[in-house]
Amino acid sequence: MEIKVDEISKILRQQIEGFERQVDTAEVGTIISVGDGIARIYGLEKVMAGELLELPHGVAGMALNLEEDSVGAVLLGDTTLIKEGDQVRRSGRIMQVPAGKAMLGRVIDPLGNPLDGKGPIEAQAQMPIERIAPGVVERQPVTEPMQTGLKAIDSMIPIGRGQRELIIGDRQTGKTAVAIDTIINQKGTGVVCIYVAIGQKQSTIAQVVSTLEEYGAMEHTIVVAASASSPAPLQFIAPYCGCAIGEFFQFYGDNGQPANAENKGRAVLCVYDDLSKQAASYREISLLLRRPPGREAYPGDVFFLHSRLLERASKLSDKNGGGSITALPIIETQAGDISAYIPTNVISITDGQIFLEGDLFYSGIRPAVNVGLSVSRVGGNAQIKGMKSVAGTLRLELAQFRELEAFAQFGSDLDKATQAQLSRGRRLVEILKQDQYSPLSVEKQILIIFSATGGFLDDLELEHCRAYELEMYQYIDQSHSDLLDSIRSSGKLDDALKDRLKGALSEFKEQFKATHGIA
Amino acid sequence: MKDRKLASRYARAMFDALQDPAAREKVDAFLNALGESIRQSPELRDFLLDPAVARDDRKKLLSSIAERHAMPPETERFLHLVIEQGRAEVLPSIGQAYHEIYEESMGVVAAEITTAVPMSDEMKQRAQSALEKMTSKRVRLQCSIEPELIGGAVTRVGSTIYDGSLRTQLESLRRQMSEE
Repeated sequence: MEIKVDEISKILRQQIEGFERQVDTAEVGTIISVGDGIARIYGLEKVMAGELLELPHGVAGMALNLEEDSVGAVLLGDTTLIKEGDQVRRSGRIMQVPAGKAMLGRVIDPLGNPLDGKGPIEAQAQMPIERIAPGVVERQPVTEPMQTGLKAIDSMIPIGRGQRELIIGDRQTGKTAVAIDTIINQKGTGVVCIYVAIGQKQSTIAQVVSTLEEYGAMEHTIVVAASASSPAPLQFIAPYCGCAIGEFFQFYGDNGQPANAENKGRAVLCVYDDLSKQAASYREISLLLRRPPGREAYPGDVFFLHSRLLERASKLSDKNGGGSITALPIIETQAGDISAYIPTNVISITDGQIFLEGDLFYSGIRPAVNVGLSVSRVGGNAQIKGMKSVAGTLRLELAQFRELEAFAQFGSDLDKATQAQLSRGRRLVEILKQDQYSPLSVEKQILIIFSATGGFLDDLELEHCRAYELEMYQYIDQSHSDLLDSIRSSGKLDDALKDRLKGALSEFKEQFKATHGIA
Repeated sequence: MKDRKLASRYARAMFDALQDPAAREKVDAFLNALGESIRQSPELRDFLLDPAVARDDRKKLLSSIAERHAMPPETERFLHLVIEQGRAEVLPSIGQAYHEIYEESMGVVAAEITTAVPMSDEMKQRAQSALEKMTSKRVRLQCSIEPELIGGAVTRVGSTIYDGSLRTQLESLRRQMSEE
């Protein structure tokens, strides 16, 4: 191969000739002071709130405070390069983030730059990070289930596509684990998952990514990472960026054109892990911008900070492509105090919460869901009928069990009926336990809950419940897979199907008792 | 920063107190000259800011300066007010702020043209009329020279910059070629 010098100079000449001479027009201001990631700028009279600013050395800024004689802006980038007297240019655009299918499987920062060393990402569109949520007319009610694959959640706290369900609990109670299991369970369903890590350790983020890779869930997932070492403004915009990328999949069909009745939008799952850290970084920015502090030193608009983000979770009408964004915000509480400022705010914004408790976690009930305090306000409509029918009994029996359990601690001589209820309750609690990274299909969840509420476990010891569950799945898979098929296709449990189920389960139980030597 | 806000409040009050356009113009020149003197002469500055000097003495000094220049009576009262409030140190900024308010009210905008080589008077004239046509306001033109621009001109009107300099053109050509 030979490269001619002539050719190169010809190409260069073409480029220079093709260069259009034009006057570069810009509105500029001057930096009066800079520090703590905040700049005060004189000039820029026509700047918009939230507008992207261009500073020297490729540093970007965002105008947040428009005052009488100056503009307060946060800097997104290396702030040590910026000096007093530097020139700041308006960009005329609100902050945007690139989005596209090429992002699936990638780890990016909130500005869309890759962090995983797998090369540049080709964006299909630029999405504004702040956007007014879809209005009433553009939406439809939440009716499709978003399966988490966790028995305790899918049965009693069902989540629908387009819902916002808060995951709340102390540190180390398995909040992230619930979210990760949900992402793993979306494998093969066409749901795009976006995991936004805010203020976490780099090592934790790396661990999440490697877990997702190990379970093959990274192919449908985008990780937006603003670690603890990122500047506060990046941590503050990270959830909005994640949501904006999600909106690309929701608003645009597979061919990259705006979604409509023929060109369907995708279902998206956004996990914001966690919003208490985002609120803290917003507090930092606000205090540095000298906005007045309010309760717990948060600024006055910290409610709006979260409500405008979570309001963007939606299920669009079929005319608009039927895409959805399901939001799973995570909030960390201190010593189980859900009545602190940020937790109460986010609880009131979301359509329900999954409350995880340390005491339950340490007593071996994992996922450590506190069934009494957890609710889902809209997910019930999204549950498939079969699950609804078995979960109703489950919920009732568990509630009765909790009541009796507290009461039964005082005395030992209880009547037969009470004892039966107690032992049923213990078995229900036992079968709701589930290992991490092992989401279950909804048919199998129905099977195990049906066997527990139908009394198939009552004459087994508690220790045998786990073995029963595992072997039952195997047995049904091998000899009665038609049962699973019919639950899946019809979605409900009619009497005929119930009879068939009962038959299969009794058959299995005989076999189980024989192999384990139970009389 | 804080001074600017403060100064513009005082200046706005002074400006609004005067109705006669001629008086406004006179006060504009006077306040600027006064600010300039305070900046240049340490004695005057010390005298005005020294708390050991009685307020009445300071007022008397400012009154006599105002009288000598035959200022409208509001000026004297205004200067007394500034001393009374202990804001003598912002007087130079008040002068500047007043000037800005005055120019704005007269429909004058400040423009600055930076070139690599000095411009001829005829060119300045043409630039002035072009800018006046563009902004439809009166333009107060300032010219400066910066050889680093290599060629062309950078024009600044208010906070908008029109950069037609050779330096910026070359820079963007370089960026465009290195990107491709």
